[in-house]
Amino acid sequence: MTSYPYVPVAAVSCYIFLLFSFGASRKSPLIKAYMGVLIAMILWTGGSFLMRLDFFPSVTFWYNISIVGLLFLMYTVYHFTSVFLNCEQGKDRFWLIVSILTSGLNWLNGFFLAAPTPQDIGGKIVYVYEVTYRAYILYGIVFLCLLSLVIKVYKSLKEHPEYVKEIMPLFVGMGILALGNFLVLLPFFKGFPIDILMGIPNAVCFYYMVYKRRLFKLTLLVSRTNCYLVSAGLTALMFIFVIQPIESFMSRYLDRFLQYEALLMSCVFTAFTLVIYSIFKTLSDRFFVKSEIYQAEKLKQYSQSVSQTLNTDDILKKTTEVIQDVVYVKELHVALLNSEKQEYEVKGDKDYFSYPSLSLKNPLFDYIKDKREVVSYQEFKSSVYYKKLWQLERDCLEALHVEYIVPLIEEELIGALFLSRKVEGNYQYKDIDFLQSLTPMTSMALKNAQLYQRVYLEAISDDLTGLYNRKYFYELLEKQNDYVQSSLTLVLMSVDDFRLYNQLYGQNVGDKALQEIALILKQCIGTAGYVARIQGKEFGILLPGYNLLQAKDMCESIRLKIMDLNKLGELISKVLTASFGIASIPVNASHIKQLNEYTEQALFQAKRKGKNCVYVYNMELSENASQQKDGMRKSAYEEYASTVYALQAAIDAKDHYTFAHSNNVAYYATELAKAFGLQKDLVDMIYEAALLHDVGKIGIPESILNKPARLTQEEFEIMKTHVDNSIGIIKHLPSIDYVIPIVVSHHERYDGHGYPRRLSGEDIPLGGRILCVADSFDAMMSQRVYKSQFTLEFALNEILQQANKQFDPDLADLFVKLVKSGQIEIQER
Amino acid sequence: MKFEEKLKKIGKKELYDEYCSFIDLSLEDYMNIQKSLLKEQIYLWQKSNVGQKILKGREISTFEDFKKYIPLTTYHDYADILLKKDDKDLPAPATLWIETTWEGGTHPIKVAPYNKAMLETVFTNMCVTMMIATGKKKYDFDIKASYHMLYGLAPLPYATGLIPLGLDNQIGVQLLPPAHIANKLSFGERNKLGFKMGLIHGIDYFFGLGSVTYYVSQSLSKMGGGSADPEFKKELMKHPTKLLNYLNATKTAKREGRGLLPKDLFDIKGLVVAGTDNCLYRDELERMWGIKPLELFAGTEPTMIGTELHSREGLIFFPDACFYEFIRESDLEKQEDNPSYQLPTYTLDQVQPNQNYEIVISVLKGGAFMRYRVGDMYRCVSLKSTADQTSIPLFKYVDRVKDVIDIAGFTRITKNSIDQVIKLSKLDIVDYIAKKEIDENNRPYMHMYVEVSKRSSYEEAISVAVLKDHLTVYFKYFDQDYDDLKKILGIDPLKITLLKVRSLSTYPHKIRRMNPSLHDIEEFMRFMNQDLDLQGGSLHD
Repeated sequence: MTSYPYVPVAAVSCYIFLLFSFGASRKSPLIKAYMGVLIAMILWTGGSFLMRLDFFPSVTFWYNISIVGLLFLMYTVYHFTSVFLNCEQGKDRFWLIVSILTSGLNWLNGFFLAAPTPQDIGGKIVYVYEVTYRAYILYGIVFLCLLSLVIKVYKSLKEHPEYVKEIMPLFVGMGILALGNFLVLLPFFKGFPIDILMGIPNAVCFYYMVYKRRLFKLTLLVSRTNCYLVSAGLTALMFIFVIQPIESFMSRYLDRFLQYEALLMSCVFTAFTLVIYSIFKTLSDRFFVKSEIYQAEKLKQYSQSVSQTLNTDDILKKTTEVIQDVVYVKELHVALLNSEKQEYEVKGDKDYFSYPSLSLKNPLFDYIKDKREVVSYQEFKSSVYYKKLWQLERDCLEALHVEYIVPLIEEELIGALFLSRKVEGNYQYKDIDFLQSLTPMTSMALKNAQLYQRVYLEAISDDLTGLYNRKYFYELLEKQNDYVQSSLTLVLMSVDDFRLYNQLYGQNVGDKALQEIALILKQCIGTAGYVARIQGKEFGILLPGYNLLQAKDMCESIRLKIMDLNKLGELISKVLTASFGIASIPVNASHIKQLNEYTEQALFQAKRKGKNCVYVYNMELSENASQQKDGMRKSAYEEYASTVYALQAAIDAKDHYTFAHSNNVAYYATELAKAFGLQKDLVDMIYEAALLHDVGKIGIPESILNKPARLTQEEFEIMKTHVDNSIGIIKHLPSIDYVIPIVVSHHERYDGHGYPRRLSGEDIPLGGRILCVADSFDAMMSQRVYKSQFTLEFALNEILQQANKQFDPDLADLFVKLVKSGQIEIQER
Repeated sequence: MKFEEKLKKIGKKELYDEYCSFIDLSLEDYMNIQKSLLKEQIYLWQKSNVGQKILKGREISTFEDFKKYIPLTTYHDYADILLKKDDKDLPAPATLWIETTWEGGTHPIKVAPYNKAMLETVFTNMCVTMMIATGKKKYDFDIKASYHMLYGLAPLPYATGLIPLGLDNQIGVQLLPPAHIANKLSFGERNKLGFKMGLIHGIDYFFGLGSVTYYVSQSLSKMGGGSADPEFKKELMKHPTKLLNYLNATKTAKREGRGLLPKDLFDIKGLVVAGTDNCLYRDELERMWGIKPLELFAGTEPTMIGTELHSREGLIFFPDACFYEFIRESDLEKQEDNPSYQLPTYTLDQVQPNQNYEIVISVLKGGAFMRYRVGDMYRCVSLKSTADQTSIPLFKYVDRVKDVIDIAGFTRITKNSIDQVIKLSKLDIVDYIAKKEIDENNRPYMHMYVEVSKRSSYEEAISVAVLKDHLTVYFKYFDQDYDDLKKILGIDPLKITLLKVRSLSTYPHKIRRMNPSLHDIEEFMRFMNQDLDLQGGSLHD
């Protein structure tokens, strides 16, 4: 038997162990090639060892196996190198055939080198080879193969200098193997199988090359099967060495127990196997997979914690923590999609940096969207996407010191993690693997949080403006108790005459105006407070920590900005303005309820003062406020009544018909409005509108007004301008400008063929439709220079005929009924 | 990270992709890069003083605005601002100011600012050029920091000075002679020393203006030939292996019955030429060096804008250097007839093959020049190339625009500069035609067809020789580069033909005074040689 049997056993065990490790992995061509090298080494070393043991069936058989292993090692190393360097593999097949032929030839008749013969020299079995010139042919073939390999590597490295570092272990391994074969010739190593021992570091070098290519996980080395294999191997080794000493020990000292020898032996070996298994498992876990277990544990904890929250910031915080725990980077930034702003907002873990926003169109996001995995910034820089990147964007990313980018994809790209350099060392396979595992959890948690955030926002927001809604605003107001001690200011803002604005320009334009006002409010208030749309045209602004002066200044600025909106409009006959009421705790109010009440009063005062102003709550003035509030509109009309009469007198002087006509129309319209069931304030409004509806005729030449014949088209066009003239006059009476929509629409036709805006059906303000019936009726019942008075029957019949054409059919019917029933009396001319 | 470090780290294929993958882009993707970078440029430029001066308060928010609000510009539009060299006026602070002579301008020189980002782009694109120049196909290139480069380029502040700077910055090649020595030497001394060093160290790359490269290559042949400078022979004696190489090369040349050529002495990896008239030298350079020269396209204002590809079938424009627009030659002719005609421009995805275009560039990455007429004509040779595996249109450089006569990339003569020279010379030249022509040795020159006044034809000693001598003296006085043509390249750039008195004024057809077509010249000469009564006889060449 050979000396140092544990050396070949250890070597073979090592190769088998590595082979089994890769058995479970996904087999890439490189792993397959490496497994080929291992098999060849097992055959070589194992065959040689069993030959020396004179194992069954024969020395020749095991010798041939070892020669097959050696010759195939030549091919497998060649092939492994080709695969590793991504070279042409045409010559590989040639060396495979050479290996098969040479080993086959040698197997058949020992052509190159026959099996050694064991000879007993001095009581020691020595295997003697009969070396002939043919053996040198074999050496020559091996040498040629190695030469070809070196040339291949040289050529490849010339093309791919980046492989130099990676291929070095191959040369180290082969060098070690050659060194072993040289050392075995030295007398010092006589009898010691140093050549076989050197096979182990050679295999490890190859293993290292594969490992550096990140083709497998280290955990594969410590699978349960491998632990069993190692334990079994070591136990077998022990069995070989220990069985004889134990037997002799027992026969010498414990001969009484000889009958239990088998039992005792099995117990000892079972215990030994278990101990070895446990020790190996523990050690390997500690050295190989400790960090992976740690990572897995962290991932598990992370997964649990992020699944319990729907707060984006919370998720980002936890993500940052877990990455810093496991990967430990110098800087970590998160870019998160803000769909509203169409950009990715960058947030970071350092306060000193003013974080930028990255456009959705940034090519980096296109790149990671395509890649869908962790990518290095260098890879991105090498891509053509980088050429598209703006210098500003490049500078921005450089400032973030990005080294790796982790895309967060949940159906769409919702963000990315930007990782800078690690605090210690470079990124490893396990780091990338960890980040890759973390990404789906982060993406899903963020997506859920964003969805929740969206739903929540919808619940607390106003649909039209995107501001907070009334309910949430008052909730916020209630929550401001903390500020009550310092300062809390509430502002109520109302858009002046917004109903008029809506009627003049339509609902859509009105909505757009509200959106623009909301935008101004958002921009002005920013993060200083909260803004909400309380109702229709009213907005609330909550300014915690603000005093009255600061709030007033801010409101003034908003007021001016709202007025500036009018500069952008097209046809503006009525300016868009807003009034503000302000009150504050503790200066005015003592508690939230009072604050609310005082702010409302301040707003009322602002309206009363003529609108378009900022009014700070004043206790004295507010005392009479509620009494005055009801009479406000009435007093406004009364304020201008004299002006209205003056205007009417002017018309009377110019065209008496118009004066009388306006009074008649006012009567008919008012009666019709009452009968239609309108509220008193609206009836009053229609009355005032009717009085003023033809006031614009002041601007029409008398020659046209009193022309005894039918008007020409040109004259009629001039006549039509009286509507615009009326608006031009009324708008100088701001407190009764609410009549404008009625006045402006009294020549609109129900079928849409009227003027000036060609409105139709319900789009025509109700007041306008009422005025239209009254105006037409009085015109028919009047005698003019160019026409005689129509009969009542004709007039009523005409109104019915024009129902659905010129007139609202309901109003036409009602009017005819009212006249016929006598509820409307025919006015004298 | 320098080029070679990158090569070691990421590999040849990846490195090629990093620099050259734009060649493989679809035209749409290429235009996306152009448009994206143009947006950035507009954003930077319209805020700057130089942008404001041209925009006159208008704001650009769309590509249509870009074309509508920025007129086609020339250096005159920028001169007053740029010549102040004040960073505050620019879209981005200048790292370097590049200069060139402004022939026919209101100032002796033109300056162009180069900021950090522009320089990075120039240097990156220089690597692209080197990769293509040293390879035969995609992914094939041979670039090493240890390689030696002979260069025939003017130093900074000329644009050509960026080449050694960039190569040193990116690759770190060994310049022959090193820049700090070369800058102190005259052109001739520099070539001599470079060649001497090349004999010892080898020459791996040669970078220069086409005309200069040709001249230097010829000099190399002479220097290394039978009548070799004794100094070289002495130098060679110190290096036995180099001497052996030299002897081998001489033997090969003798065996083939020809003089010694650079290719006998040097195993060159890449030969890059810039400037104009390169087509005249291309074949001869290939014969001398055994490698096809690669043409590079650059200029003071536009930076480095394009390179030929492996097949040398045409040049590709770099997508990140400038935004390119093109004016059709037929539109230029239309404008000649009708100066109020608004020139339409076409982007790279709108050009047609086999059409000549004047190029209009907008320098990207914070450059100062927008919609700038460089004054170069290009011909679109194909919309894509199978040989070079690209779907981007390829171009050939044609020449300068017709109003400019560029001789060997050294000097640019305009009508204005000729008028100035005639004025200075006090010659009684009443009219002339100037045309760039090529002699039998493939050398460019300016041919002036000159008509003198009737009075001077009788009263003064007017002959072709007198005219030529006079004009040459003042051309040299007026334009330093003109003088260099003779000094450096040995080119005599002026030929005079004296026309019959009043021949131009009586010619019934319209003829351009600068660079008319060959056909027009022939027609005119035929007319002139008819037996006309030109009142008082004639003088001619």
